[in-house]
Amino acid sequence: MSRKPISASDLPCIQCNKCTHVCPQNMVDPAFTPRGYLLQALMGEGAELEAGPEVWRCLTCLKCREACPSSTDWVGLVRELRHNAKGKDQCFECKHGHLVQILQRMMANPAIEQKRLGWAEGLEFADRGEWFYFTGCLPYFDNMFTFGSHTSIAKATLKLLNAGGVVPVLSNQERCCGYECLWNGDRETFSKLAKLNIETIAATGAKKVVTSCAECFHTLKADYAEERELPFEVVHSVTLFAQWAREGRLRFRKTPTPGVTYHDPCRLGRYEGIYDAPRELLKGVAGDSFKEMERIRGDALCCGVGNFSNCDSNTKFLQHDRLLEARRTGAEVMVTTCPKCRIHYGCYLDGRPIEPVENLQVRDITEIAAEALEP
Amino acid sequence: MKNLIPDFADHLKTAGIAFDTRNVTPYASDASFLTMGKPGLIIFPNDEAQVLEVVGYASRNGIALTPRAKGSGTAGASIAPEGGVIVITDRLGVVNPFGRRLGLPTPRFYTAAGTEILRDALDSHRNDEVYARVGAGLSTEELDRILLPLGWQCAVVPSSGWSTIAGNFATNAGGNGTPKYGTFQNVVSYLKMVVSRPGGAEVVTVTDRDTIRDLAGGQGLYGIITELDVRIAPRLSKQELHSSFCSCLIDDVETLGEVVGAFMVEMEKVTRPIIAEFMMADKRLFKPGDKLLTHPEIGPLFDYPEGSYKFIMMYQGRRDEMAELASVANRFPKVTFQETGTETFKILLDLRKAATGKSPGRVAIPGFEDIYVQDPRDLGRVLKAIYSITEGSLPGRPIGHQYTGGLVIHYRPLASLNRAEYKLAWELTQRLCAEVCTERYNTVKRREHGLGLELYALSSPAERARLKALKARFDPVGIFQPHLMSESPDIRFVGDKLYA
Repeated sequence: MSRKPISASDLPCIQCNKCTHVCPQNMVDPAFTPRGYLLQALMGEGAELEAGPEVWRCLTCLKCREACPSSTDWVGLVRELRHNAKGKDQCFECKHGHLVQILQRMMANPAIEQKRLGWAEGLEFADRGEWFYFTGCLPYFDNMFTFGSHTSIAKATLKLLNAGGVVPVLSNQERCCGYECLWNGDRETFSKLAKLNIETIAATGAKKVVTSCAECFHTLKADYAEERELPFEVVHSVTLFAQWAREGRLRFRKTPTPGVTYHDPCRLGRYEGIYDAPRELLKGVAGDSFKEMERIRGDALCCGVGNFSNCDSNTKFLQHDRLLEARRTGAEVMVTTCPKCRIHYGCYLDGRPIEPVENLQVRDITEIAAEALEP
Repeated sequence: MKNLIPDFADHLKTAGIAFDTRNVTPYASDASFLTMGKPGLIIFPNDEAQVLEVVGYASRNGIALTPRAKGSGTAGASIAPEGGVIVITDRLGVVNPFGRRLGLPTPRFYTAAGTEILRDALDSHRNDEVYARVGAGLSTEELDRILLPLGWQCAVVPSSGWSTIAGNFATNAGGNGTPKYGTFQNVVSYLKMVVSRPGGAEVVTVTDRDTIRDLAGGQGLYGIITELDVRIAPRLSKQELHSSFCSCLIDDVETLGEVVGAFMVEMEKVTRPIIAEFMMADKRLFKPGDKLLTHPEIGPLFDYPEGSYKFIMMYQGRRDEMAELASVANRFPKVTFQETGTETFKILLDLRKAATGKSPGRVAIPGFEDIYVQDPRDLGRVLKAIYSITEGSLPGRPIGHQYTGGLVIHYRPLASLNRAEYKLAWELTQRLCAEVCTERYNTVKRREHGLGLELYALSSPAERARLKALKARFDPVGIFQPHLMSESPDIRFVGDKLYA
């Protein structure tokens, strides 16, 4: 990594405790205290933090930095500590048997052959061109998580791109973006994946990369850019489609839909500051049936799972709280722009570990928009 | 001597009360950056029953307890001696049946006399003293969120709003609303506390206002608050609100302070602000090219000649209660008055907060000693003394609150993140307080969030007697914060251990 590692002396923490006050993990576990861990790091006990479970329990949702008066990068420190811990063979717990990470390590092998375009049969795409649609792990998720379809997001995105006059490149050589590896301390795998993806995209001649996943988007845009200068621009599909709708390039019919509300994913919102485009697009499709939740934009609650590494009973309480908040708006659909958020909330709705949240679906914004597309 | 912690931990485990003995370093200090060592046990009770269990056990076994809420803690009151026990109180009354701090509670409302007001009838009490009954762990920010749809707000909100209401009471905090409603000792009308009793613990309620005023600022010395009534006020519309700022530019800092002090005395006679804040204008608050410098109202405030000093005062209140402010300002040729909108006022308030020293890349140096100017007419002499000590040293500027009956001046030298500057700033703060907080200037030393570790040390003989009497009444076993009752507290600064 070219990025300068964060050390305790880079942390201008004034111990005001606002980070802990807003931290979702602290809401469900009183012992979890970013302020306290920063003090620990400042007092020279970073090694003890690395060895303990705390560093793996941070959701990296960035609510702490949103509240911090001195812009202390606790989350950056977490990433560094995880990297150091990984070097000492310390690891996190994963409810899915580390499946995602195993998959990523397999994909980091340059020799591996993938057949990942089956979902796109019958749709229009290219081998070379200006636009590249980075589908991420959506084709794999269909086989990993049984609730709902995930390639439906990819199909909807492709349909909207086509409707806007773009025939994007899809590639069997594309790999997972490496987000989970990076945030779980495995930089080696992340760097390999980043290198392969940058080379794959560059080889198609693409200058614009579209993602429909908030985590892929932030990883490509910010973390790949730290690896090397990118020969392409990265855009989240919701920004693009909102712009095209504004320009009249996409037209939607306002269909009578049940109430919808919007959940800001951490990576699109707090990390990248994209709050207006999804709302603009959603209002264009759902009109007056769009209702805001209480905690929105920078204050939005995280879905409760960071990089598939810390899903436990506390996670379920956070998800339950957020789903109830969505339901209180009168909405029957909670829309998001991150397939991972949808998976995690979908997991709750599927398993109902605390209590059922009736009459609520979680859907991706591209699905809603594609259904409302005027022929 | 027997280590009592393992047995206490076993008891907590049996009672189903959350605790931690493994990772205790996070509680070795607070925003004061003071320390007395690492505690041995951190307890996280969920409700009053669990607090009763904790206090009962501690009382029977003679174990000292340090309550700790969720604010910054800038006076060291929330740190325990080496191996001690800290009780985290931020979940009391605010957790759901599963013990998670999710969702917002539904408070009940009362008049000053203790008569309940139904939620739907709140509006008919807009001219009355109204109180919300809340759990100790609720913050003013959370209560404000609860009250917003009802058209009400907390009467007093410390600048951040993130601290718990019981913590604010324990430190007798002030903030927005204090010029009109007072500090927390004036806005609480009912307290429920778990206190020690020989052989156990007891829940007591306090409704006598004099006793409540006495208990405020006790820094956890008397017991653990579980519930309290806190004053709320009708939320004013933009039309009902007066927002303004006054400024004064003079090339001699002593004269500047004299003019401003005299102005403050006069304006206090005829106005009743809800917010009254001040700061010395300082161009170093801005990065080059900052958009605020071209703001039509704010930009000119920070445009002043080198070698001169500019004092900025910010006032907000009910329009009818602030009507005379302009005419008072007119009587002072050096004071300019400008009414402004609520949006610009908020920007100014944010700047005032930033001026405390919370800026990226530098830290406001801990210690948090404040200079309490008992009579605004002494402001000139005080400012001169502050500048004679601080000019040419680390960056910093006097900022503060204009409360009825006195001014609180914060001076935070800003240190770069290295041990040398940290030490320099710490020494500067100590020198500032030693030389300026004296009878000569009619000032006293205060700490921003209560007196903390110096509660007893900084108290007069009469105040010490009062503390002892309250201690005997509410904590006869003496298990709450016994180290605070020291004439010479063992204060150690961790700042020079940081950033090695």
